[in-house]
Amino acid sequence: MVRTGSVVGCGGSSVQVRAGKEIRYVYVENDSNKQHIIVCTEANQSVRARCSGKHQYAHEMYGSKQNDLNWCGGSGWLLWDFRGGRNGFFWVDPPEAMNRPDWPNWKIAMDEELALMTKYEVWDEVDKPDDTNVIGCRWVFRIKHDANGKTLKHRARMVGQGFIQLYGVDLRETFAPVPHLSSIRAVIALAASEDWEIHQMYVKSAYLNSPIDATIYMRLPPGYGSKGKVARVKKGIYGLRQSGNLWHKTLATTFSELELTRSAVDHGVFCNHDNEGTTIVCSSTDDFAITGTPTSRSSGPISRITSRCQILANLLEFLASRSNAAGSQGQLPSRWPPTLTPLRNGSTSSPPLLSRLRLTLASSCHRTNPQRPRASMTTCGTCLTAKRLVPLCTPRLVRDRISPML
Amino acid sequence: MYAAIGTRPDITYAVTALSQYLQNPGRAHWEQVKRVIRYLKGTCNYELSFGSSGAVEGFTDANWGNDTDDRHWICGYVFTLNGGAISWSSKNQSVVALSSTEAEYIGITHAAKEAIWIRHLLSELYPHLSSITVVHRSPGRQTCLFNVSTH
Repeated sequence: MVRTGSVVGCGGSSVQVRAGKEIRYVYVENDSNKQHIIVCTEANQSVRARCSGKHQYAHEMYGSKQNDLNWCGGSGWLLWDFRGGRNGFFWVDPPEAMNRPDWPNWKIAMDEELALMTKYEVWDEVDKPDDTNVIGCRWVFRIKHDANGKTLKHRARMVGQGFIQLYGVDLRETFAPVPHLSSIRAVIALAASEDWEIHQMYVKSAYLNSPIDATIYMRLPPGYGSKGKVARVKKGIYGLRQSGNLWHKTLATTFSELELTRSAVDHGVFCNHDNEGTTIVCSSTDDFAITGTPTSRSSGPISRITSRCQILANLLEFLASRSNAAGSQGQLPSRWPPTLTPLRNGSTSSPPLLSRLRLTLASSCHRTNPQRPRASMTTCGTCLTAKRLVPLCTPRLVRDRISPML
Repeated sequence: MYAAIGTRPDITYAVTALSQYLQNPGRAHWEQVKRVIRYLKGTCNYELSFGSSGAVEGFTDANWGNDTDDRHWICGYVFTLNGGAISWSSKNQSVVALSSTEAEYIGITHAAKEAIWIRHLLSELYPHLSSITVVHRSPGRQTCLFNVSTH
Protein backbone atom coordinates (compact mmCIF):
# COMPACT_ATOMS: atom_id res chain seq x y z
CA MET A 1 0.00 0.00 0.00
CA VAL A 2 1.36 3.40 -0.98
CA ARG A 3 0.85 6.16 1.55
CA THR A 4 0.71 9.91 1.19
CA GLY A 5 4.07 11.29 0.29
CA SER A 6 5.46 8.13 -1.23
CA VAL A 7 7.36 8.41 -4.43
CA VAL A 8 6.83 5.89 -7.14
CA GLY A 9 9.49 5.80 -9.80
CA CYS A 10 8.79 5.14 -13.41
CA GLY A 11 11.34 5.34 -16.19
CA GLY A 12 13.21 8.52 -15.26
CA SER A 13 10.20 10.19 -13.72
CA SER A 14 8.55 9.96 -10.39
CA VAL A 15 5.00 10.13 -9.23
CA GLN A 16 4.48 11.58 -5.83
CA VAL A 17 1.29 11.32 -3.85
CA ARG A 18 0.73 14.34 -1.67
CA ALA A 19 -1.59 15.74 0.92
CA GLY A 20 -4.42 13.48 0.11
CA LYS A 21 -5.94 10.18 0.80
CA GLU A 22 -4.07 6.96 0.78
CA ILE A 23 -3.51 5.17 -2.44
CA ARG A 24 -4.23 1.50 -2.87
CA TYR A 25 -2.35 0.35 -5.92
CA VAL A 26 0.25 1.74 -8.19
CA TYR A 27 1.51 -0.32 -11.00
CA VAL A 28 3.19 0.20 -14.31
CA GLU A 29 1.84 -1.20 -17.48
CA ASN A 30 3.61 -1.36 -20.82
CA ASP A 31 1.96 -1.47 -24.17
CA SER A 32 3.69 -1.24 -27.53
CA ASN A 33 5.51 2.07 -27.11
CA LYS A 34 4.04 3.80 -24.11
CA GLN A 35 4.04 3.24 -20.44
CA HIS A 36 0.98 3.69 -18.32
CA ILE A 37 1.05 4.31 -14.65
CA ILE A 38 -2.19 3.28 -13.12
CA VAL A 39 -3.02 4.51 -9.67
CA CYS A 40 -6.08 3.34 -7.83
CA THR A 41 -7.43 5.48 -5.06
CA GLU A 42 -9.62 4.53 -2.15
CA ALA A 43 -12.84 4.47 -4.03
CA ASN A 44 -11.25 2.05 -6.42
CA GLN A 45 -11.22 4.61 -9.18
CA SER A 46 -8.12 4.64 -11.23
CA VAL A 47 -6.05 7.59 -12.36
CA ARG A 48 -3.94 6.98 -15.37
CA ALA A 49 -1.03 8.83 -16.81
CA ARG A 50 0.84 8.04 -19.95
CA CYS A 51 4.53 8.37 -20.45
CA SER A 52 6.56 8.25 -23.60
CA GLY A 53 9.21 10.59 -25.03
CA LYS A 54 10.56 13.27 -22.79
CA HIS A 55 8.84 16.41 -24.08
CA GLN A 56 5.68 14.91 -25.28
CA TYR A 57 5.49 13.57 -21.86
CA ALA A 58 4.62 16.85 -20.19
CA HIS A 59 1.77 17.53 -22.57
CA GLU A 60 0.25 14.17 -22.16
CA MET A 61 0.62 14.24 -18.46
CA TYR A 62 -1.13 17.55 -18.29
CA GLY A 63 -3.91 16.54 -20.60
CA SER A 64 -4.63 13.37 -18.81
CA LYS A 65 -4.42 15.01 -15.43
CA GLN A 66 -7.28 17.34 -16.15
CA ASN A 67 -9.59 14.52 -17.08
CA ASP A 68 -8.43 12.29 -14.36
CA LEU A 69 -9.02 14.79 -11.63
CA ASN A 70 -12.69 14.73 -12.37
CA TRP A 71 -12.62 11.04 -12.63
CA CYS A 72 -10.89 10.86 -9.31
CA GLY A 73 -13.87 12.68 -7.84
CA GLY A 74 -12.35 13.85 -4.59
CA SER A 75 -11.52 10.44 -3.27
CA GLY A 76 -7.83 11.03 -3.81
CA TRP A 77 -5.41 13.78 -4.56
CA LEU A 78 -2.47 13.43 -6.84
CA LEU A 79 0.26 15.78 -7.75
CA TRP A 80 2.48 14.62 -10.52
CA ASP A 81 6.02 15.71 -10.10
CA PHE A 82 8.83 15.00 -12.54
CA ARG A 83 12.43 14.78 -11.69
CA GLY A 84 14.13 17.29 -13.96
CA GLY A 85 10.84 18.47 -15.42
CA ARG A 86 10.05 22.11 -15.65
CA ASN A 87 7.37 23.29 -13.25
CA GLY A 88 6.02 19.81 -12.84
CA PHE A 89 3.64 18.87 -15.58
CA PHE A 90 3.03 22.41 -16.66
CA TRP A 91 4.48 22.84 -20.06
CA VAL A 92 4.45 26.03 -22.05
CA ASP A 93 5.62 26.44 -25.55
CA PRO A 94 6.76 30.05 -25.71
CA PRO A 95 8.13 30.19 -29.27
CA GLU A 96 4.73 29.50 -30.77
CA ALA A 97 3.07 32.36 -28.94
CA MET A 98 5.96 34.73 -29.41
CA ASN A 99 5.97 34.27 -33.17
CA ARG A 100 2.48 35.66 -33.50
CA PRO A 101 2.25 39.06 -35.20
CA ASP A 102 0.20 40.50 -32.33
CA TRP A 103 2.62 39.29 -29.69
CA PRO A 104 3.69 42.83 -28.58
CA ASN A 105 0.07 43.64 -27.68
CA TRP A 106 -0.19 40.54 -25.57
CA LYS A 107 3.12 41.27 -23.96
CA ILE A 108 1.87 44.70 -22.92
CA ALA A 109 -1.32 43.19 -21.57
CA MET A 110 0.62 40.62 -19.57
CA ASP A 111 2.91 43.28 -18.17
CA GLU A 112 -0.11 45.35 -17.16
CA GLU A 113 -1.64 42.41 -15.38
CA LEU A 114 1.57 41.58 -13.57
CA ALA A 115 1.92 45.22 -12.57
CA LEU A 116 -1.58 45.02 -11.09
CA MET A 117 -0.54 41.91 -9.18
CA THR A 118 2.39 43.81 -7.73
CA LYS A 119 0.28 46.84 -6.97
CA TYR A 120 -2.33 44.91 -5.05
CA GLU A 121 0.34 42.70 -3.42
CA VAL A 122 -1.44 39.63 -4.59
CA TRP A 123 1.19 37.10 -3.60
CA ASP A 124 4.42 36.49 -1.71
CA GLU A 125 7.16 34.44 -3.27
CA VAL A 126 7.98 31.60 -0.91
CA ASP A 127 9.80 28.30 -1.07
CA LYS A 128 7.77 25.43 -2.31
CA PRO A 129 6.26 23.78 0.77
CA ASP A 130 6.01 20.03 1.15
CA ASP A 131 2.73 18.24 1.50
CA THR A 132 0.62 21.10 0.26
CA ASN A 133 -1.53 21.41 -2.79
CA VAL A 134 -0.02 23.82 -5.24
CA ILE A 135 -2.54 25.01 -7.75
CA GLY A 136 -1.60 25.89 -11.25
CA CYS A 137 -1.97 29.21 -12.93
CA ARG A 138 -2.96 30.15 -16.41
CA TRP A 139 -3.05 33.15 -18.62
CA VAL A 140 -6.44 33.85 -20.08
CA PHE A 141 -6.18 36.00 -23.16
CA ARG A 142 -9.08 37.89 -24.56
CA ILE A 143 -9.54 40.57 -27.15
CA LYS A 144 -12.10 43.14 -26.18
CA HIS A 145 -14.18 44.57 -28.99
CA ASP A 146 -16.35 47.63 -29.13
CA ALA A 147 -19.82 47.60 -30.65
CA ASN A 148 -18.45 47.93 -34.18
CA GLY A 149 -16.26 44.91 -33.80
CA LYS A 150 -13.13 47.02 -33.64
CA THR A 151 -10.45 45.80 -31.31
CA LEU A 152 -10.59 47.81 -28.14
CA LYS A 153 -7.84 46.24 -26.14
CA HIS A 154 -5.95 43.08 -25.48
CA ARG A 155 -6.61 41.73 -22.05
CA ALA A 156 -4.50 39.16 -20.28
CA ARG A 157 -5.82 37.84 -17.02
CA MET A 158 -3.85 35.70 -14.64
CA VAL A 159 -6.10 33.06 -13.16
CA GLY A 160 -5.61 30.29 -10.66
CA GLN A 161 -6.73 26.80 -11.53
CA GLY A 162 -9.53 26.64 -9.03
CA PHE A 163 -10.57 23.19 -10.16
CA ILE A 164 -7.55 21.77 -8.36
CA GLN A 165 -8.71 23.17 -5.03
CA LEU A 166 -10.20 20.73 -2.61
CA TYR A 167 -13.30 21.50 -0.64
CA GLY A 168 -12.55 21.54 3.08
CA VAL A 169 -8.81 22.04 2.56
CA ASP A 170 -8.46 25.06 0.32
CA LEU A 171 -11.91 26.49 0.52
CA ARG A 172 -15.22 26.36 2.31
CA GLU A 173 -17.71 29.02 1.33
CA THR A 174 -18.25 29.88 -2.31
CA PHE A 175 -21.59 31.66 -2.11
CA ALA A 176 -21.61 35.04 -3.79
CA PRO A 177 -25.00 36.71 -4.05
CA VAL A 178 -26.22 38.90 -6.88
CA PRO A 179 -29.43 40.90 -6.68
CA HIS A 180 -32.64 39.28 -7.75
CA LEU A 181 -34.03 40.62 -11.01
CA SER A 182 -37.23 41.64 -9.26
CA SER A 183 -35.18 43.73 -6.83
CA ILE A 184 -33.42 45.50 -9.66
CA ARG A 185 -36.71 46.26 -11.35
CA ALA A 186 -38.19 47.41 -8.05
CA VAL A 187 -35.28 49.77 -7.50
CA ILE A 188 -35.62 51.12 -11.02
CA ALA A 189 -39.35 51.61 -10.50
CA LEU A 190 -38.70 53.47 -7.27
CA ALA A 191 -36.06 55.64 -8.90
CA ALA A 192 -38.47 56.42 -11.72
CA SER A 193 -41.26 57.42 -9.38
CA GLU A 194 -39.02 59.55 -7.18
CA ASP A 195 -37.07 61.09 -10.05
CA TRP A 196 -33.74 59.83 -8.79
CA GLU A 197 -30.79 59.35 -11.02
CA ILE A 198 -29.29 55.94 -11.42
CA HIS A 199 -25.54 55.67 -11.66
CA GLN A 200 -23.71 52.66 -12.82
CA MET A 201 -20.23 51.85 -11.65
CA TYR A 202 -17.70 49.20 -12.31
CA VAL A 203 -14.78 48.25 -10.12
CA LYS A 204 -11.72 47.33 -12.10
CA SER A 205 -9.99 44.13 -11.02
CA ALA A 206 -12.39 43.87 -8.13
CA TYR A 207 -11.35 40.47 -6.87
CA LEU A 208 -7.78 41.58 -6.31
CA ASN A 209 -9.01 43.83 -3.51
CA SER A 210 -10.31 41.08 -1.28
CA PRO A 211 -7.94 39.40 1.18
CA ILE A 212 -8.02 35.64 1.29
CA ASP A 213 -8.68 33.64 4.46
CA ALA A 214 -7.00 30.37 3.49
CA THR A 215 -3.41 29.41 2.75
CA ILE A 216 -3.18 28.78 -0.94
CA TYR A 217 -0.06 28.16 -2.95
CA MET A 218 0.04 28.76 -6.63
CA ARG A 219 2.75 28.17 -9.18
CA LEU A 220 4.25 31.37 -10.43
CA PRO A 221 3.48 32.33 -14.01
CA PRO A 222 5.96 30.89 -16.50
CA GLY A 223 9.06 33.00 -16.81
CA TYR A 224 8.31 34.87 -13.63
CA GLY A 225 10.12 34.56 -10.31
CA SER A 226 12.96 32.31 -9.39
CA LYS A 227 13.18 28.58 -9.61
CA GLY A 228 11.80 26.49 -6.78
CA LYS A 229 9.57 29.32 -5.56
CA VAL A 230 5.82 29.34 -5.51
CA ALA A 231 3.34 32.11 -4.82
CA ARG A 232 1.54 32.26 -1.53
CA VAL A 233 -1.71 33.88 -2.57
CA LYS A 234 -2.89 36.76 -0.39
CA LYS A 235 -5.82 38.04 -2.43
CA GLY A 236 -8.75 36.35 -4.05
CA ILE A 237 -7.32 36.07 -7.52
CA TYR A 238 -9.55 35.27 -10.44
CA GLY A 239 -10.18 31.62 -10.97
CA LEU A 240 -10.19 30.54 -7.34
CA ARG A 241 -13.44 29.07 -6.25
CA GLN A 242 -13.92 31.28 -3.23
CA SER A 243 -13.00 34.57 -4.90
CA GLY A 244 -16.58 35.66 -5.49
CA ASN A 245 -17.44 35.00 -1.88
CA LEU A 246 -14.39 36.89 -0.65
CA TRP A 247 -15.20 39.85 -2.82
CA HIS A 248 -18.74 39.96 -1.52
CA LYS A 249 -17.46 39.90 2.06
CA THR A 250 -15.08 42.76 1.32
CA LEU A 251 -17.85 44.66 -0.35
CA ALA A 252 -20.27 44.11 2.51
CA THR A 253 -17.68 45.29 5.04
CA THR A 254 -16.92 48.38 3.01
CA PHE A 255 -20.57 49.18 2.59
CA SER A 256 -21.25 48.74 6.28
CA GLU A 257 -18.46 51.24 6.98
CA LEU A 258 -20.30 53.54 4.61
CA GLU A 259 -23.47 52.95 6.67
CA LEU A 260 -25.18 50.97 3.96
CA THR A 261 -27.14 48.02 5.34
CA ARG A 262 -27.45 44.80 3.45
CA SER A 263 -31.02 43.87 2.73
CA ALA A 264 -32.22 40.86 4.68
CA VAL A 265 -34.28 39.47 1.81
CA ASP A 266 -31.84 40.16 -1.00
CA HIS A 267 -28.16 40.18 -0.15
CA GLY A 268 -27.22 41.93 -3.36
CA VAL A 269 -29.06 45.08 -2.34
CA PHE A 270 -27.72 47.63 0.12
CA CYS A 271 -29.62 50.63 1.39
CA ASN A 272 -29.45 53.46 3.82
CA HIS A 273 -32.08 55.79 5.23
CA ASP A 274 -31.02 58.78 7.26
CA ASN A 275 -31.60 62.50 7.48
CA GLU A 276 -29.73 63.03 4.27
CA GLY A 277 -32.17 60.88 2.38
CA THR A 278 -32.23 57.43 0.85
CA THR A 279 -29.48 55.55 -0.91
CA ILE A 280 -29.89 52.22 -2.63
CA VAL A 281 -27.11 50.19 -4.20
CA CYS A 282 -27.60 47.03 -6.25
CA SER A 283 -24.30 45.23 -6.49
CA SER A 284 -23.86 42.53 -9.06
CA THR A 285 -20.30 41.34 -8.35
CA ASP A 286 -18.21 44.31 -9.46
CA ASP A 287 -20.99 46.31 -11.10
CA PHE A 288 -23.09 48.67 -9.08
CA ALA A 289 -26.27 50.50 -9.83
CA ILE A 290 -26.53 53.34 -7.36
CA THR A 291 -29.54 55.50 -6.82
CA GLY A 292 -30.90 57.76 -4.13
CA THR A 293 -32.15 61.16 -3.20
CA PRO A 294 -30.17 64.10 -4.58
CA THR A 295 -29.03 65.12 -1.07
CA SER A 296 -27.50 61.71 -0.67
CA ARG A 297 -25.39 62.44 -3.70
CA SER A 298 -24.00 65.67 -2.42
CA SER A 299 -23.36 64.82 1.22
CA GLY A 300 -24.67 61.33 1.96
CA PRO A 301 -23.53 57.79 1.24
CA ILE A 302 -23.29 58.18 -2.52
CA SER A 303 -20.71 60.88 -2.10
CA ARG A 304 -18.85 58.67 0.36
CA ILE A 305 -18.86 55.78 -2.11
CA THR A 306 -17.53 57.97 -4.83
CA SER A 307 -14.85 59.44 -2.61
CA ARG A 308 -13.91 55.99 -1.36
CA CYS A 309 -13.56 54.86 -4.90
CA GLN A 310 -11.43 57.90 -5.54
CA ILE A 311 -13.60 59.14 -8.31
CA LEU A 312 -14.43 62.77 -8.62
CA ALA A 313 -18.03 63.58 -7.94
CA ASN A 314 -17.70 66.18 -10.63
CA LEU A 315 -17.08 63.49 -13.14
CA LEU A 316 -20.37 61.87 -12.27
CA GLU A 317 -22.11 65.20 -12.54
CA PHE A 318 -20.51 65.84 -15.86
CA LEU A 319 -21.47 62.50 -17.33
CA ALA A 320 -24.99 62.79 -15.99
CA SER A 321 -25.54 66.18 -17.51
CA ARG A 322 -24.08 65.08 -20.78
CA SER A 323 -26.28 62.04 -21.21
CA ASN A 324 -29.33 63.98 -20.07
CA ALA A 325 -28.72 66.78 -22.48
CA ALA A 326 -28.16 64.40 -25.33
CA GLY A 327 -31.25 62.44 -24.43
CA SER A 328 -33.56 65.42 -24.34
CA GLN A 329 -32.45 66.52 -27.77
CA GLY A 330 -33.14 63.08 -29.12
CA GLN A 331 -29.53 62.52 -30.06
CA LEU A 332 -27.31 59.75 -29.06
CA PRO A 333 -24.43 60.64 -26.82
CA SER A 334 -21.19 60.28 -28.62
CA ARG A 335 -20.06 57.36 -26.52
CA TRP A 336 -22.80 55.18 -27.93
CA PRO A 337 -22.04 53.65 -31.26
CA PRO A 338 -23.54 55.10 -34.42
CA THR A 339 -24.25 51.69 -35.94
CA LEU A 340 -27.21 51.29 -33.67
CA THR A 341 -29.10 54.32 -34.85
CA PRO A 342 -31.12 52.43 -37.50
CA LEU A 343 -32.69 50.43 -34.72
CA ARG A 344 -33.88 53.58 -33.11
CA ASN A 345 -35.08 55.14 -36.34
CA GLY A 346 -37.03 52.01 -37.14
CA SER A 347 -39.44 52.72 -34.33
CA THR A 348 -41.35 55.57 -35.90
CA SER A 349 -44.46 55.41 -33.78
CA SER A 350 -44.19 55.86 -30.08
CA PRO A 351 -44.69 52.58 -28.25
CA PRO A 352 -48.07 52.60 -26.52
CA LEU A 353 -46.61 51.50 -23.21
CA LEU A 354 -44.64 54.68 -23.09
CA SER A 355 -47.70 56.88 -22.77
CA ARG A 356 -47.55 56.91 -18.99
CA LEU A 357 -43.85 57.17 -18.84
CA ARG A 358 -42.47 60.39 -17.58
CA LEU A 359 -39.05 59.35 -18.69
CA THR A 360 -39.63 59.28 -22.42
CA LEU A 361 -37.05 61.96 -22.95
CA ALA A 362 -34.28 59.54 -22.44
CA SER A 363 -35.95 56.69 -24.25
CA SER A 364 -33.96 57.29 -27.38
CA CYS A 365 -30.87 56.68 -25.32
CA HIS A 366 -31.83 53.60 -23.52
CA ARG A 367 -33.41 51.92 -26.50
CA THR A 368 -30.02 51.43 -27.96
CA ASN A 369 -28.54 49.98 -24.87
CA PRO A 370 -29.87 46.43 -24.94
CA GLN A 371 -28.27 45.96 -28.32
CA ARG A 372 -24.97 47.27 -27.19
CA PRO A 373 -22.48 44.55 -26.48
CA ARG A 374 -20.25 45.34 -23.58
CA ALA A 375 -17.20 43.58 -22.46
CA SER A 376 -18.19 43.26 -18.86
CA MET A 377 -21.38 41.45 -19.76
CA THR A 378 -19.78 38.21 -20.66
CA THR A 379 -18.25 37.43 -17.32
CA CYS A 380 -20.83 34.97 -16.17
CA GLY A 381 -24.36 33.99 -16.94
CA THR A 382 -25.87 35.10 -13.69
CA CYS A 383 -24.41 38.54 -13.78
CA LEU A 384 -25.23 38.91 -17.41
CA THR A 385 -28.95 39.16 -16.96
CA ALA A 386 -28.69 41.65 -14.17
CA LYS A 387 -26.14 43.75 -15.96
CA ARG A 388 -28.12 43.95 -19.12
CA LEU A 389 -31.29 44.80 -17.37
CA VAL A 390 -30.05 47.88 -15.64
CA PRO A 391 -29.19 49.82 -18.78
CA LEU A 392 -32.30 48.44 -20.44
CA CYS A 393 -34.61 50.32 -18.15
CA THR A 394 -32.43 53.03 -16.78
CA PRO A 395 -33.81 56.41 -17.62
CA ARG A 396 -30.63 58.35 -17.19
CA LEU A 397 -27.66 56.20 -17.42
CA VAL A 398 -24.26 57.11 -16.22
CA ARG A 399 -21.80 54.40 -16.73
CA ASP A 400 -18.35 55.02 -15.53
CA ARG A 401 -15.28 53.05 -14.90
CA ILE A 402 -13.48 53.52 -11.66
CA SER A 403 -9.96 52.30 -11.51
CA PRO A 404 -8.78 52.18 -7.91
CA MET A 405 -11.17 51.02 -5.26
CA LEU A 406 -11.21 50.34 -1.55
CA MET B 1 -36.56 32.40 -22.36
CA TYR B 2 -34.05 35.13 -21.79
CA ALA B 3 -36.50 37.78 -22.89
CA ALA B 4 -39.24 36.23 -20.80
CA ILE B 5 -37.09 36.46 -17.69
CA GLY B 6 -35.63 39.87 -18.37
CA THR B 7 -38.23 42.27 -19.68
CA ARG B 8 -41.13 40.43 -21.32
CA PRO B 9 -43.79 39.26 -18.90
CA ASP B 10 -46.23 38.99 -21.79
CA ILE B 11 -44.57 35.92 -23.33
CA THR B 12 -43.88 34.17 -20.03
CA TYR B 13 -46.93 31.96 -20.27
CA ALA B 14 -46.18 30.96 -23.86
CA VAL B 15 -42.57 30.15 -23.00
CA THR B 16 -43.60 28.06 -20.00
CA ALA B 17 -46.19 26.17 -21.99
CA LEU B 18 -43.85 25.50 -24.90
CA SER B 19 -40.90 24.58 -22.71
CA GLN B 20 -42.69 21.44 -21.66
CA TYR B 21 -42.20 19.99 -25.11
CA LEU B 22 -38.50 20.67 -25.42
CA GLN B 23 -37.55 17.04 -25.02
CA ASN B 24 -39.36 15.88 -28.09
CA PRO B 25 -40.95 18.75 -29.97
CA GLY B 26 -43.35 18.19 -32.82
CA ARG B 27 -44.19 20.33 -35.79
CA ALA B 28 -47.11 21.98 -34.03
CA HIS B 29 -44.84 23.12 -31.24
CA TRP B 30 -42.34 24.54 -33.68
CA GLU B 31 -45.12 26.48 -35.39
CA GLN B 32 -46.08 27.93 -32.03
CA VAL B 33 -42.49 28.88 -31.28
CA LYS B 34 -42.31 30.72 -34.59
CA ARG B 35 -45.51 32.47 -33.67
CA VAL B 36 -43.96 33.66 -30.39
CA ILE B 37 -40.93 34.91 -32.27
CA ARG B 38 -43.15 36.71 -34.79
CA TYR B 39 -44.96 38.32 -31.87
CA LEU B 40 -41.67 39.40 -30.36
CA LYS B 41 -40.56 40.84 -33.68
CA GLY B 42 -43.77 42.79 -34.02
CA THR B 43 -43.61 44.14 -30.50
CA CYS B 44 -39.89 44.64 -30.12
CA ASN B 45 -40.39 48.35 -29.55
CA TYR B 46 -42.41 47.75 -26.43
CA GLU B 47 -40.57 48.15 -23.21
CA LEU B 48 -41.18 48.05 -19.52
CA SER B 49 -42.22 51.43 -18.35
CA PHE B 50 -42.28 52.68 -14.84
CA GLY B 51 -44.81 55.28 -13.84
CA SER B 52 -44.51 58.08 -11.38
CA SER B 53 -47.14 57.20 -8.84
CA GLY B 54 -49.19 54.30 -7.64
CA ALA B 55 -48.65 51.33 -5.43
CA VAL B 56 -47.76 47.69 -5.62
CA GLU B 57 -50.43 45.60 -7.24
CA GLY B 58 -50.41 41.93 -8.02
CA PHE B 59 -52.48 40.11 -10.62
CA THR B 60 -52.85 36.38 -10.72
CA ASP B 61 -54.70 33.72 -12.67
CA ALA B 62 -54.64 30.02 -13.42
CA ASN B 63 -55.55 28.09 -16.56
CA TRP B 64 -57.11 24.96 -15.13
CA GLY B 65 -58.38 22.47 -17.69
CA ASN B 66 -56.63 23.83 -20.75
CA ASP B 67 -53.91 21.25 -21.02
CA THR B 68 -55.39 17.99 -22.22
CA ASP B 69 -52.01 16.25 -22.45
CA ASP B 70 -51.25 15.80 -18.81
CA ARG B 71 -53.95 17.75 -16.96
CA HIS B 72 -51.39 19.86 -15.21
CA TRP B 73 -52.12 23.53 -15.18
CA ILE B 74 -50.16 26.73 -15.24
CA CYS B 75 -50.64 29.59 -12.86
CA GLY B 76 -49.02 32.96 -13.06
CA TYR B 77 -48.78 36.36 -11.53
CA VAL B 78 -47.50 39.83 -12.28
CA PHE B 79 -46.62 42.42 -9.68
CA THR B 80 -46.46 46.03 -10.65
CA LEU B 81 -44.95 48.94 -8.80
CA ASN B 82 -46.14 52.33 -9.92
CA GLY B 83 -47.58 50.76 -13.03
CA GLY B 84 -44.39 49.02 -14.13
CA ALA B 85 -44.06 45.27 -13.88
CA ILE B 86 -41.34 44.30 -11.46
CA SER B 87 -41.91 40.63 -10.83
CA TRP B 88 -43.69 37.93 -12.73
CA SER B 89 -43.90 34.21 -12.95
CA SER B 90 -45.65 31.49 -14.86
CA LYS B 91 -45.35 28.08 -13.37
CA ASN B 92 -46.49 24.65 -14.33
CA GLN B 93 -47.97 23.21 -11.16
CA SER B 94 -47.06 19.70 -10.16
CA VAL B 95 -50.38 18.91 -8.55
CA VAL B 96 -53.47 18.06 -10.55
CA ALA B 97 -56.28 20.25 -9.34
CA LEU B 98 -59.73 18.75 -9.24
CA SER B 99 -61.55 22.01 -9.73
CA SER B 100 -60.80 25.42 -11.08
CA THR B 101 -61.32 26.86 -7.62
CA GLU B 102 -58.62 24.61 -6.22
CA ALA B 103 -56.30 25.60 -9.04
CA GLU B 104 -56.94 29.24 -8.44
CA TYR B 105 -56.37 28.95 -4.73
CA ILE B 106 -53.01 27.34 -5.33
CA GLY B 107 -52.25 30.07 -7.85
CA ILE B 108 -53.10 32.74 -5.30
CA THR B 109 -50.82 31.07 -2.77
CA HIS B 110 -48.05 31.17 -5.35
CA ALA B 111 -48.59 34.89 -5.81
CA ALA B 112 -48.99 35.59 -2.11
CA LYS B 113 -45.59 34.09 -1.35
CA GLU B 114 -44.03 36.47 -3.82
CA ALA B 115 -46.07 39.36 -2.44
CA ILE B 116 -44.70 38.75 1.03
CA TRP B 117 -41.17 38.77 -0.32
CA ILE B 118 -41.75 41.98 -2.24
CA ARG B 119 -43.27 43.61 0.83
CA HIS B 120 -40.19 42.72 2.87
CA LEU B 121 -37.89 44.08 0.20
CA LEU B 122 -39.76 47.30 -0.28
CA SER B 123 -40.16 47.89 3.42
CA GLU B 124 -36.39 48.02 3.55
CA LEU B 125 -35.90 50.07 0.42
CA TYR B 126 -38.76 52.41 0.87
CA PRO B 127 -40.40 52.54 4.29
CA HIS B 128 -43.32 54.71 3.15
CA LEU B 129 -44.85 51.85 1.21
CA SER B 130 -48.49 51.04 1.81
CA SER B 131 -49.90 47.54 1.60
CA ILE B 132 -49.81 45.28 -1.43
CA THR B 133 -53.03 44.41 -3.18
CA VAL B 134 -53.37 41.12 -4.97
CA VAL B 135 -56.16 40.93 -7.51
CA HIS B 136 -57.46 37.68 -8.83
CA ARG B 137 -60.09 37.46 -11.51
CA SER B 138 -61.74 34.59 -13.21
CA PRO B 139 -64.60 34.84 -15.71
CA GLY B 140 -68.02 34.18 -14.27
CA ARG B 141 -66.68 34.03 -10.80
CA GLN B 142 -66.66 36.43 -7.97
CA THR B 143 -63.64 38.72 -7.94
CA CYS B 144 -61.44 37.82 -5.09
CA LEU B 145 -59.34 40.43 -3.40
CA PHE B 146 -57.09 40.22 -0.46
CA ASN B 147 -54.53 42.28 1.27
CA VAL B 148 -51.08 41.03 2.13
CA SER B 149 -50.30 43.62 4.76
CA THR B 150 -51.94 41.48 7.41
CA HIS B 151 -49.85 38.39 6.70
